[in-house]
Amino acid sequence: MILRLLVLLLLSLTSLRPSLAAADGAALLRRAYDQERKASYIATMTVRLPAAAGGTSTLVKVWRSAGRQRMEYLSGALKGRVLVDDGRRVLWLDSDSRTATPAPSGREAEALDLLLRNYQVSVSATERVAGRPATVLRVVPRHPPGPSRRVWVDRASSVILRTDSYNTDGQLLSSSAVTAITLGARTGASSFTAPAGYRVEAAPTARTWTREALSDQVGFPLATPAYLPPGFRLDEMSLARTGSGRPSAQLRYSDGLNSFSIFQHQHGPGMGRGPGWGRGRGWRGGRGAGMPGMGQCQLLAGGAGRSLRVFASDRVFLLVGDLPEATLRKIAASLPQ
Amino acid sequence: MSCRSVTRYLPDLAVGALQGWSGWRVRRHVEECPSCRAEVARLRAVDARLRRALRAPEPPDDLWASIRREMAPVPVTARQPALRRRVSSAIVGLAATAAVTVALLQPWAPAPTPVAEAPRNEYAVRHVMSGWRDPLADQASLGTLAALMNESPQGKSP
Repeated sequence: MILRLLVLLLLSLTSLRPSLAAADGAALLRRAYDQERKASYIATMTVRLPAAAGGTSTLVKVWRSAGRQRMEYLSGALKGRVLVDDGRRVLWLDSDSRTATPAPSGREAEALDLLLRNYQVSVSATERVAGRPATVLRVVPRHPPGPSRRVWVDRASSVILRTDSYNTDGQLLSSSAVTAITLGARTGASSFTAPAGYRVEAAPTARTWTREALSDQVGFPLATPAYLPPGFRLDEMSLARTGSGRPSAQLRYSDGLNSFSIFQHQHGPGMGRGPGWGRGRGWRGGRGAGMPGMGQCQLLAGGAGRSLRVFASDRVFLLVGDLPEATLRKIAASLPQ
Repeated sequence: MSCRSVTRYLPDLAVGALQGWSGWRVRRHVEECPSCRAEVARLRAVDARLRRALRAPEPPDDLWASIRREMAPVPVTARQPALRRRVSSAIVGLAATAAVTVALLQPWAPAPTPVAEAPRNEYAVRHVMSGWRDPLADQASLGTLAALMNESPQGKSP
């Protein structure tokens, strides 16, 4: 009788282990996420981008204090470049022109909930990073294909010590690892602002625009796709002024870890329905898969994903993201023409 | 940047050939400076007129399909007279030769680069950087990747 009870107990414990591991993983990830916003430290990190230029590697010094951070590149092509994040916006400092280019910053807790809905987090091992014991978390998609992560969380402080990022094709996209860290180190507030003499350029830092305001800026009502891959939702709408300076609307969709953007802007001069257009024909031989004006799907630099350009009657769509080509085309085909 | 230091970059900016960090800085200046913006608009108008004037006709989309169709063997039935068979073959051969000749002699220049079309790389950089706020964003890697992409020419791996 006792033996039977013991066997039953062992069996139930065995069946519970995976779910316990998942619960532990999610809890550990939440703790690490909180620490990212609270922790103070000074660290040196190596950053490897295997897909960029045949394997770029650089050394970065990082100062963190209560959600703010400063990064200084110590080696490689970006040596001397500085980046500061004051918790509201991130500033790229250019020492040549003494200018600081801003972009929105700040993390939102609900994005982590979205991630945990769409990704499975499990504890896979315990390893040492920079001499410190760390728990290794595996983050894998519940709706494959999708990107994945391995995250090394410091057992003592819950600070993330190393992150390996894999793209949807399973290739290692980047790896950043702490080589030395001083936890609790205090850094003055001035380190997280643009230095004296730098001009902060005017740029829209608003996180999210209303649909109407953004439509006014780009000159047409925004189009949204009828199809979204499982788990994705609209994350934000913003105004982009890239390239020629022409306004472009960016609709960013996210599943918490992966994302794609749909940029849409008016045709440039000479890109209307003139020569080069016709029924079922795209620009420059960009023949679509059953859709007029759908261009070629291109791999982006550094393994950052794919891009697909679509020409509609009154605008150009550009889809960018780490998604399979078939998925990008499906999203594009669901856009109103 | 001052108007004086920016002037020499404006023609390149107007035709979409200005890349990387310099491109970023010049565009920032142009966005804020009405006179430089007007100059870029003038340059773009001239460029657009030139491109329209030089534009070569695009080859029809179904050119190769039609060549293949013409070159495909024509089914010959036993009842077909020998003379008609020979005439059909000759017509098909001539049509195929004509189509290939047209294809080879067609003086199409590369289709014009769409004027003022922003390089895709810049949108990609923007997309990469919009992941900065994601809960598991590896910001050290993201910053590095975006900076390298920003400095690389369009279409090349950084």
